[in-house]
Amino acid sequence: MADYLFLIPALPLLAFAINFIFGRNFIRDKAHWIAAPAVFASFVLSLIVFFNIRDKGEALDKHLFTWIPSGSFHIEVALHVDQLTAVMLLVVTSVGFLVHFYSIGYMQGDPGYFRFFSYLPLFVFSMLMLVMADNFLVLFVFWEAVGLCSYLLIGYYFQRRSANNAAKKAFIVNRIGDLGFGVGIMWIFSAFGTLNFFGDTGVFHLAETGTVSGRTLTGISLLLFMGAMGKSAQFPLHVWLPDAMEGPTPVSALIHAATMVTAGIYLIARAHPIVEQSQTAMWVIATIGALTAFMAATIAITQNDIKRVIAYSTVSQLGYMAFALGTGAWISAIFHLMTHAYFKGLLFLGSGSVIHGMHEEQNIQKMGGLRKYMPITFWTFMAGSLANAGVVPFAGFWSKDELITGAWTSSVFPNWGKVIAIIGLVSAFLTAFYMFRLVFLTFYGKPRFDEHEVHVHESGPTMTIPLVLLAIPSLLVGFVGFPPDDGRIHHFLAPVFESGSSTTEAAAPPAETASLYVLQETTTDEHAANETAAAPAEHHISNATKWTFAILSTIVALSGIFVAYLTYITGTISATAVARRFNGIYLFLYERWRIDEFFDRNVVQQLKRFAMFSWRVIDVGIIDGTVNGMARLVTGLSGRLRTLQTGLVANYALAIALGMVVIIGVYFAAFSDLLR
Amino acid sequence: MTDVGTDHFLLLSAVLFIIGMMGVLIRRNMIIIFMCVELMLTAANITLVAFGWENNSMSGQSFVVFTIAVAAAEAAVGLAIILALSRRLHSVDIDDMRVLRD
Repeated sequence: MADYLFLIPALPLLAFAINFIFGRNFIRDKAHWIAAPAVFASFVLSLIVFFNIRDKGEALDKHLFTWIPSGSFHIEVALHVDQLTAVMLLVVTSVGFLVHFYSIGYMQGDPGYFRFFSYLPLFVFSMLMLVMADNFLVLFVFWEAVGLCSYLLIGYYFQRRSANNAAKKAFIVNRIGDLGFGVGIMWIFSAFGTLNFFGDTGVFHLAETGTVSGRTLTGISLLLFMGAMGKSAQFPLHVWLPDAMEGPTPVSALIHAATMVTAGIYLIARAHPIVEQSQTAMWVIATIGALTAFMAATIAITQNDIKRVIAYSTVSQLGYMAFALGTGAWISAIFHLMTHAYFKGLLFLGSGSVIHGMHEEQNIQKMGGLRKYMPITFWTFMAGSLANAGVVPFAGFWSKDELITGAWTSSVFPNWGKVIAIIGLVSAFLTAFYMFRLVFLTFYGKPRFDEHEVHVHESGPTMTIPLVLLAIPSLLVGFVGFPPDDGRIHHFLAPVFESGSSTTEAAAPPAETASLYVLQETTTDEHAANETAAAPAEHHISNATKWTFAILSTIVALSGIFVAYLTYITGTISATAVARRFNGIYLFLYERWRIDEFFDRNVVQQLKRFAMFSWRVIDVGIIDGTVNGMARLVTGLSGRLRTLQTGLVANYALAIALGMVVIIGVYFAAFSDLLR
Repeated sequence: MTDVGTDHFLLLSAVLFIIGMMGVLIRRNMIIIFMCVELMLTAANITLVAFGWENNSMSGQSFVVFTIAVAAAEAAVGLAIILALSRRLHSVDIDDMRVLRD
């Protein structure tokens, strides 16, 4: 089985190569026949791998080749698939395939069709390799590779200035995070002597057995999170994601909702043996996650571009995942990652369908009443919105509720966790509100456009079939996490998130600590082996708490929807009046907390000034000045020397005479005895 | 009267040389310059003879015979050049030779 692992990433890579080389001249608009089946094959293989791991219970390893055999710095490229990777493989290939399928219709007729279908499988390849990497350096290489694909795809419509700027912004902001990540990797090598994840000499085992100081672990964890901040759009490195909506909608669905942005979450989850040892790092991750979740939700309620609302929603949900990681709810974070991939991908593809149907209109204030024109899009979008808002029994409810409960009962932060849970609940209210604001303004009410001018049509089957296929998991996939903390996914992922050492918390026996945490052992005693294999036994959240939060989440979500209903359907609350009354706050939110302006003023302009200074003063002034100055010196000197050559014979004769005097004088003065 | 020693010859030679050099540097007429060059050569000859006389050696005088022959040849060639030049320039003023300058 392990021998066939390499096919999972290799097939999309092959699709990229074929489409890229032959696409322009030979394949052209049949490029999807190469790319889509390749990704589908990867999906089927991922399913087989998943079942294999589920039945056998152990990870698959496949060594590919040695990359850097440089003495003690030995880097192998090997594929390691454990339960966490298996889940990621399924998510990436399933959403990836559906996006490929959808793009057949969405990108039809575009001149760069083959280019699109070469970059998209390249991205899938990079993401698959990222989750299957078994050491930090290989992961980093593919981390960068997905960033590159993101750049290429955001800037797909390269004739547009705004698209190019957005692509640059995405890559540069990512790079800032990668700076931290890179330094973190170097520190890991310096502290642990290896970059491999697994095995007795791997980083994780060494981290657990306490060979490295706490300060080092904190530092490394914070640096790794810095990388995650860039990639997974945490505050303040989230600014690239809304602008990334310049890319084609399928790109937004795949990269900026389901997969690439989750790479940061995956990284922290994978590196949990390091991160969970540092309370400081966990606190930072949780707090920034909560802040991101709240901030993005507040911005989303004011935006008018359909894709931008969904983009901020993505940022917000990534914040949820981050604070789940920070409060120690590892499995819940991955669970939410999975459910989010499906319903967010659905929402993006649905918005693409709307945009297509409205002939490239993206402003929801100019829509309305699309329900009757685009029924399939409407119903699937509704499913995605219900899931996003966290309404029971849709997928988003189970995962989001688990995150909030997990934060409240966090054993890592008993008190701060409660604050985070409250922030999560407030953000959930806002989430429900802005999602249904979007739904009501787009699909309900009277059309705010001229129905005779714009002929709205439902999209074709290549676009609507993926919508329906994504709506199914948006409804149902939550049930793999049912009952909460005890569902299939929890049992499946539990082996990944056990730890061999005790963390900073004392295991309080009957207290309410979430079971999704690292199964802690109170001492490093012999019962270790037995305990880790058992299902979550000692640590339970009481049923009372679970039910309370379930009901609370549902109330919060439904009230959010209700407020949206009152505002946008019945008109009981007037949005404009509220906006006018709280004008200051409204503008602050509409202008996206003015973070872009802040960066522009303090970072971009300063850098520009420094660049101008470097150019004018240093490059032109000093360096060019020195080089040109040398030339000027020489010409000046020679100009003056030239005057010696008068062309007059008498002057030359004088020169001979003078020279003779000088030589004789020197002879007399230095060498003869006459003057001594 | 004091004896005439080598010093006197050398002094004479030096004076002649300097007069010749001044002439070369100051005079404008090419033929005059040439004559001054001959003067300088003569001064060198006197120096040679003086030292030959002082050391009772014939080498000084024999060398002078050679230099006189050379001076004559050089005068011939030089005058030929001046002749050719003056045909071009229609003048023997050395300051009129400024083709390289202009």
